[in-house]
Amino acid sequence: MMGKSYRSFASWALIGLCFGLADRTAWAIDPALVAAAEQEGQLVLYNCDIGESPVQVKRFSELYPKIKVTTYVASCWQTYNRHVAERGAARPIADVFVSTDDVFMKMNDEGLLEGYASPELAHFPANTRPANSDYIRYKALLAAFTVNTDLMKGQPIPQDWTDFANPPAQWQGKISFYDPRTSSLAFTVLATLHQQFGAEGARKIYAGLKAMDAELSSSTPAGVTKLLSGEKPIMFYILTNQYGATVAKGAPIVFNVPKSGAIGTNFGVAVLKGAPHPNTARLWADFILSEGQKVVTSRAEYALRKDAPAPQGMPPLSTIKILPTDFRKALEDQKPLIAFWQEATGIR
Amino acid sequence: MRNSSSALARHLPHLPAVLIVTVTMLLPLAVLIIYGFTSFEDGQRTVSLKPLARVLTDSIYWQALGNTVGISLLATLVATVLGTALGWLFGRTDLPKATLLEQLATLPIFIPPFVGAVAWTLLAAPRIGAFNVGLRNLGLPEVLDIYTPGGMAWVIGIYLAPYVMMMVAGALRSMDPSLEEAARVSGLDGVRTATRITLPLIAPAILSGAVLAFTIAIGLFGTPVVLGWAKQILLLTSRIWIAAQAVPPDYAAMAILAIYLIALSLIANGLQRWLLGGRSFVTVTGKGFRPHAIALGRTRGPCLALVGFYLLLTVAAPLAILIAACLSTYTWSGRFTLGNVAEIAGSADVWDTLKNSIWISVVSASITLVLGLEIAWLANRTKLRGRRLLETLALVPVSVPGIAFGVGVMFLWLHAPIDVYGTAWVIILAFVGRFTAYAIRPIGASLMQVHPELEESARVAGYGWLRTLIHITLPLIRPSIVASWILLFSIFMTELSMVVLLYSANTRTFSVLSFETWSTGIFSVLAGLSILQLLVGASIMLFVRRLFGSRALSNS
Repeated sequence: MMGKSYRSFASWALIGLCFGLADRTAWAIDPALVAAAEQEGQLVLYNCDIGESPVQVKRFSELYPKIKVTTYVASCWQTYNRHVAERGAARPIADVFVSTDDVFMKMNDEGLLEGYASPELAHFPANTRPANSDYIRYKALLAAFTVNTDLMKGQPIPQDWTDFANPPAQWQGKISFYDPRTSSLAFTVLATLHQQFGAEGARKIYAGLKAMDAELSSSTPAGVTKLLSGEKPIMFYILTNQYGATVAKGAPIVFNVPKSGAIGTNFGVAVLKGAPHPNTARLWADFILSEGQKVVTSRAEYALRKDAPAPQGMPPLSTIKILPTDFRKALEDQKPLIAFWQEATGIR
Repeated sequence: MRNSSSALARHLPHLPAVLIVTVTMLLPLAVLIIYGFTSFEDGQRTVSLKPLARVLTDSIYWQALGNTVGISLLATLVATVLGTALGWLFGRTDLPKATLLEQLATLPIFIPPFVGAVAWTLLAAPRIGAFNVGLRNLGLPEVLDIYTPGGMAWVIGIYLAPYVMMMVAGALRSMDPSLEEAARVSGLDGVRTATRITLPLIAPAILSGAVLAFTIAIGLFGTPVVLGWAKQILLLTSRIWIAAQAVPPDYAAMAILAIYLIALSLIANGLQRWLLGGRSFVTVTGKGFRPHAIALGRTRGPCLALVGFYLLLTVAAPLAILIAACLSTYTWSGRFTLGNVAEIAGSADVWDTLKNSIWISVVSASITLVLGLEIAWLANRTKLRGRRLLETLALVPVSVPGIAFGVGVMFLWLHAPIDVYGTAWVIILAFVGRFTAYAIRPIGASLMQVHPELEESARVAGYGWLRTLIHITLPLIRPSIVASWILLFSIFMTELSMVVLLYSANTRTFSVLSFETWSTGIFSVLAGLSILQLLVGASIMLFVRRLFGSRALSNS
């Protein structure tokens, strides 16, 4: 457990000073690109990081006030579905996409992305741009355990995924978990548990949740609301982007990495093929990979740029054990995995 | 030749209405039906009954249908009983401070239903709900559970009651009270006059309200998801949402389930017509009248208490929850701050989306009202061929859940040769298409109460149909018109399920912003946004009421 130190966010300003602000020229964007983007004057962003999107847009608009940014924000697969529908009707609106590994994998396979070799890539680890892919990862999103510590004092809290297979009686009626039919991260967790613990192991985990009368929420944010109100003081998992925003409000919660490993995905950025405003799209990508990394860190999330520090009070990303996920296999097995989950939980 | 020319002359002024109905209602529905009865295989779309067979043979969809019908009927009962009682008390009696109380009772319609549902979880969820905590502190059993079919029906019902109330109050204000006076002269007291004379006379408005409440209830999306998901009490709209999340979306299942809802709506409408068929509800004739308030006498106190209890449950308690949440660092930290208020007040995004919402809602409500008025007038005041068909067609889309109708609108305008998709007009056209029924119902109910002799006299005096409409009919049904506009405006200010599919670029609305805030899990900011939305909506409602005013009741 990483304790209460996570709650202290008063020193974000200090982080800002340490990180990035020190040398703005190092992050200078190509002036020719800026001029071309300002000439286009508009950027349409499709983004499925609902919490981060307005913060990034605000910062971008401060830096480039001549460019009007408009956004469509929804769940990751919804943004994908909408873009595909618009392309199918020969009315592409979006210029740039922000989404997760699994969505980008599919978009890449379908030839929807334009390769953009951002000069900022030099400051990132080698796997930031996955092989044969046209998207660029810029932050890691981790799923780990959380509880409302005020309400769980003196009670056991989850240490590993397998704890849910044999849960203690004190957890009865206190857990919320999430629907892989409507939440892309819930599906990622399902697929990873299935891949790592095998069908039987994963079945026991979901059966344990069922035995504890765990409440199914349509999405993790609904679970966060119930965590804070005390209605369901144990979340099956919380995501780093939700944890950061919540703990910043002073909520008494922890970010507890499972012993066998957190489950993770990455958020990436990609310029779309046939984007109506390609230069603003490239400028956005450069921004996200430079100045936007500060925004990521300021929200208590893991930015992937080499010089980005870990969020305040959190261990370096490299020290966190993360369970591997075969996203391609998960996508191929989507229907049988959902059927497996339905059978394990009794939910149809 | 002459006959056909005069028929053309009679029909011509109404062609735009037919065109709007076709473009905004029929074509999106046609797109849905195409998706429901075709399959996309080997790169080609072919006619197929496979989607229908798949839905018909899966028990989960039958269960969803059963849940939808059961919960919606229960919610309709709650809404109709409460709405009728409130409409009568506010519109026809000498209840003290009736105007203020009526305005307070209208407030819930300006809160997005899903926010109201979240507020009710904080009031009546097992263990942590404020009401349950209160019961526990009193040593009583914690009996309330909002995550049950009864809890869902209650929350849906109390938020639909104002719609019924507005329709009933509007009809009562348009009613000649001479029959009530005759009853009282004959010795009936206030309550017996209300139950034996007034209620039967305003039956069209009550039935219209009930059918409207039912059609809204079956198409609701946010409340069933917030309250029903926990115990998997899934309605047809919840199943549509699950189908919409698939990759690719299961448009066929969405369409078939939408057709289920259309069928339910048609049944409700048919039942209404059958119940009212052949009876006259005329209460406004050529004789002048001024409505008189009915003296409640000894029942005044209990009636006031009833209204107070209703306001406590539907306005005061949820509003108190929203205010407390907004002022909390998070829900429930026990620590208070003005940070959330400052965050909202200082956000340009909030004010920009609010402006978008207001102008889109005002324009949409006005267009919808004019179209609804014309269709209701055609149906009730002319013998033009096809008038009933036009009315029936216009009533259908309201029962199609927003998310499904939104898909129809989206695909229609995505493939249209003109640039509507991506502009505010795609949202306005979707609003007009889906919600014109909300104008047709109350206005049609009021028109049924106005005897045609008034308009016939005007025609005899040389007025054309348009002048008759403007100078005779409209003033007589003004309360219903004002109520309809306010109702439409309130719906458009909070509508989410269609807008979330159709908004883009410069047309992001306040409800989308609220939804995005909810998606971060921070209820405190969402509560603040909802209070702001409520204040703005209520202010505009008051402004419109003051501008176009409802006829005042005399107490003589």
